[in-house]
Amino acid sequence: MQVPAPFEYERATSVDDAVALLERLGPEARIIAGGHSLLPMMKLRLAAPEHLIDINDLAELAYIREDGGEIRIGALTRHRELLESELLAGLLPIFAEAERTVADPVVRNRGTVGGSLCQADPAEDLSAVCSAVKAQVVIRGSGGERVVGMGDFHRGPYETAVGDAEMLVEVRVPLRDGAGSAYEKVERRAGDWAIAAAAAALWVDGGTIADAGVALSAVGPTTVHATRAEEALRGQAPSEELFARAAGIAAEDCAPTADQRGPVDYKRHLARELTHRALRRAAARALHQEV
Amino acid sequence: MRVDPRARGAVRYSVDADMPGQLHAALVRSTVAHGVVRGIDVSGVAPGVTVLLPEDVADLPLYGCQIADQAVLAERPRHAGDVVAAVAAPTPAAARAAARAVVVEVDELPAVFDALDAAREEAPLLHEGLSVSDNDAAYFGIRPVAGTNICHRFRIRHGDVEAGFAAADVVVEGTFRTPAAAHVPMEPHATVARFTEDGRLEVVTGTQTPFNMRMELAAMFGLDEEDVRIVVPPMGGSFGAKTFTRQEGIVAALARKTGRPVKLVLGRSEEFLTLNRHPSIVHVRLGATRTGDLVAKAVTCWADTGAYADCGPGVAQKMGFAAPGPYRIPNCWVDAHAVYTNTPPNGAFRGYGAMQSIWASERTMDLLAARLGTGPLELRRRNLLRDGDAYATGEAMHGTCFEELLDRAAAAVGYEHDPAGKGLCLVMKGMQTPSRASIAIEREGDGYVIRCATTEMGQGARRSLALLAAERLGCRPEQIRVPDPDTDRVPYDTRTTSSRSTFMMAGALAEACEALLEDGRRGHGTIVNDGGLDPDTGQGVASTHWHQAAGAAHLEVDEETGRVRLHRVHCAVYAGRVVNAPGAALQNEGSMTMGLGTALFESVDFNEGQVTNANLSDYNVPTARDAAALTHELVEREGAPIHGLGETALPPVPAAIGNALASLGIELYDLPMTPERVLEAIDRRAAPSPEPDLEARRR
Ligand SMILES: Cc1cc2nc3c(=O)[nH]c(=O)nc-3n(C[C@H](O)[C@H](O)[C@H](O)COP(=O)(O)OP(=O)(O)OC[C@H]3O[C@@H](n4cnc5c(N)ncnc54)[C@H](O)[C@@H]3O)c2cc1C
Repeated sequence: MQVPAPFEYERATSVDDAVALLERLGPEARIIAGGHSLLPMMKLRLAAPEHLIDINDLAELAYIREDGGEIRIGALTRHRELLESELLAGLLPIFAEAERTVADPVVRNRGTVGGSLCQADPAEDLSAVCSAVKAQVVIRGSGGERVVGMGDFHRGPYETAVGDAEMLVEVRVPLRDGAGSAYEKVERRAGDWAIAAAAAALWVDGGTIADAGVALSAVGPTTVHATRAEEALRGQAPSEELFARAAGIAAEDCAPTADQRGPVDYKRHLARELTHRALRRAAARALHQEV
Repeated sequence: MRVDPRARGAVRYSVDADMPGQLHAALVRSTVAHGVVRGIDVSGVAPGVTVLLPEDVADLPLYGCQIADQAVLAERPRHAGDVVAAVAAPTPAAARAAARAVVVEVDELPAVFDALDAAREEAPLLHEGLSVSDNDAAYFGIRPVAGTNICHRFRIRHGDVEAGFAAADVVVEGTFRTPAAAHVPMEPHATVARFTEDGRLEVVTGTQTPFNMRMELAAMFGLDEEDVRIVVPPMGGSFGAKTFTRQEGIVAALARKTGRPVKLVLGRSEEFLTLNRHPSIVHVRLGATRTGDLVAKAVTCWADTGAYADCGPGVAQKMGFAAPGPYRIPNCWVDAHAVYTNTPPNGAFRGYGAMQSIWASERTMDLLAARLGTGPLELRRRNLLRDGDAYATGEAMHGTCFEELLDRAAAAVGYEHDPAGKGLCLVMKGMQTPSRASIAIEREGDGYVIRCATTEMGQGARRSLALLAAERLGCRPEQIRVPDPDTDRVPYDTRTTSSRSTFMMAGALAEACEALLEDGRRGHGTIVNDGGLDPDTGQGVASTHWHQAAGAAHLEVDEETGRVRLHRVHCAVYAGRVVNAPGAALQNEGSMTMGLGTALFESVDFNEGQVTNANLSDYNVPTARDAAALTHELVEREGAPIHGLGETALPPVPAAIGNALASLGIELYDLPMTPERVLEAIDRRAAPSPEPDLEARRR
């Protein structure tokens, strides 16, 4: 029977309260947001926190807004809100595209962006999306806030830059001109975790790629930031040939392992094909050529 | 408004059954796939917990519904997960903790995990010397092959197959594989049992086979059958998982040792160690004339029955007699084997061996059509069985409906308009033959009560019985009560399997209702279907009548990722007469959804005999969104007998999808058709066709 180990439960009344509880209760305390990753881990006894600090009352952490040339997303924003946001659909369609593939309505109604990023599952979709669009995350502790780029956020499998007495409060995505983004995923059945997935963002300025973001899910010990592929794209004119080359580099730089979802060769093949497709579509969007 | 009791949480399922003063059980399982228990250390177990050890059950004989090969506790575990000890404690949590505290020391023995490897002479033997059970599930001639892991082999010898192939202009062949699959009922196996003061054994359990279980438990505990009572609450699904004796012997032995009632509910991961579907390897060779007349077919089936035979001999036999398929073939040769391996036991699973053999045979039909340059629809139409034709078992066909079913399925996907990306499959599946069903009906207040052993597992058996009786007695179905089957109170019935119950019980019920109308107070009815096959020639009567269906699929393939997108999968299923229309539709839907899982997603995976995906994140059953492309229809005929439909719409799905891929030159031989396998097959399309894999052929 899948029953979690016993734990104590607290409801945080504010972000400060949550941080204070984390500090007081120590490293065996965990925040619970949607609970769709943490509770399964507790049932399987892969996690046995002594205290859960529930942040679901913190309505001030649930928002998507444009502010100072950035999109700001509160940590408690649910998958469903990301899927349905008109603001995001216009500026960053990659979010809705990824969200359509995340689990099912039950999970999406409850699971949060903060929980997704902090879970840091290598197959998690939003981590790749946030990496590709060069998001930064805001981490709050009793000493104040710090802002960390996605490159420094992932520290290892299921490990992030968020410290024991800290919490993630916001995701910030810079808005720049000439942007296009896309997400490509292959899963076994509807709503399943990725066999492999690729997120791509391009910023095109006067016919050349000013900046590029490429990240992959489920093909390494953490979300794979394909920085060599990004370098290969930067400063070049968008073309099929270029995208094929960048996709090849991304596939070389990932490190899939064989599991229930597929063998290594197939995942690497997908990494290449899906990166190529995501780049192609991101470019079409950046150049307003989307069909 | 009347709300379905299931939606109100008002149904008391097997997991909800309790007995006053009960203890809770947990099982201690072997972590090695094959070995001998050297010692069991219980020093870490908390006081107040009873541990059941092999010496406590040394007096209990081996059991097994067809071959007596299983001990209540395994002193020689034969699969990872085999139960070597059990505990009973005051709470489920205490029982789980105690089971974890038991330390088992096992000396490993060589193990074998694949049916073909296991059938080799030099393979490690799982069981030395086999004895056929004294149980009515062992109703056919079981033919173990001495000194091997083959616990049954079944043969069909019809016509002269060598001469048939010699006369063929075209011969195709292929080897097809299907993996182990899990039934995944929402409700796991659950049992509560006690010995009463007067020495009777009472068992409340989720099972499709109350009378088989009564026989087995009576033999196990040296009781008269009348001194064993089996009560069956509704099950939250079974699909074959809850057939014959599973955990019930262990629970009863714990009750005997503790002198208290004992309850056991298995966990989800334990379900994958309890009973799965037979993995299969099927080799088919099929010959035809240039004009497309089938002339010869040779099929070799290997059904991997796991560590214990369970009903594997019966499954292998059904795989064997489904192998000729619904076609006129003058010369047929079939060898079907059930083989032991060091994996969890495999048993009844919706389709009962038919799916495995239909996957192989129907894919081969399309290989042949491609070689002949004929359309797959035309090839099937040309050869299908019609009334009066002899099947490979020698029995004359009657009540056939294949042409209409095929036409309807083909029309649903517009097959004749354009066959690209489309595939067809015909299904002919037997019903349990021989068998017996009895039923009693009594007046009760202003209504009636039905005493019947047919178990409810979500298929709507009780609803169908109430509808049939109401029609006969001229009352409302709500006036008819169908209580939980209780072997103390209900007359004998073979079992609730094989999609036989609506047909068989309807026959018995008609007689019972007539008797009741005459008597005024009660009536009793019995129906028997005779038949059976000679296991050495496969001649006789395989099935009283045949479950028939046709499937059609329409899909497209992402050629760079191997991902399959279904536009539609349709099944036309022959019902004869529909008794309960919403229930029948749900059976089709459920069968097709399981068929879709079989086709694209599901496989219980092993590493050296250890299940590696015993959870519902890694073991993928279809979701509602995956099932969106499935449609079905029921075909009735004026005056025709009821045909069961609990399983018929499952087997068409994999082969229809496989043949739709084949129409694009993508030839799959193994299930499930995962994206990486589809991609491999796309890569193979360009290459010259490889030598056929003949490993599985006649050994
Ligand atoms: C059936 C199923 C299918 C799924 N499929 C997918 C899929 O296809 N793709 C996908 O990407 N995801 C999938 N998921 C995961 C889903 O997206 C989860 O909702 C998400 O991973 C975690 O979000 P949560 O809010 O539920 O986090 P929780 O489970 O509440 O928490 C997860 C972890 O993050 C920590 N945490 C949460 N919020 C914060 C915060 N603000 N600051 C610091 N730490 C925090 C918790 O302490 C915990 O360690 C699936 C989940 C299920 C149950």
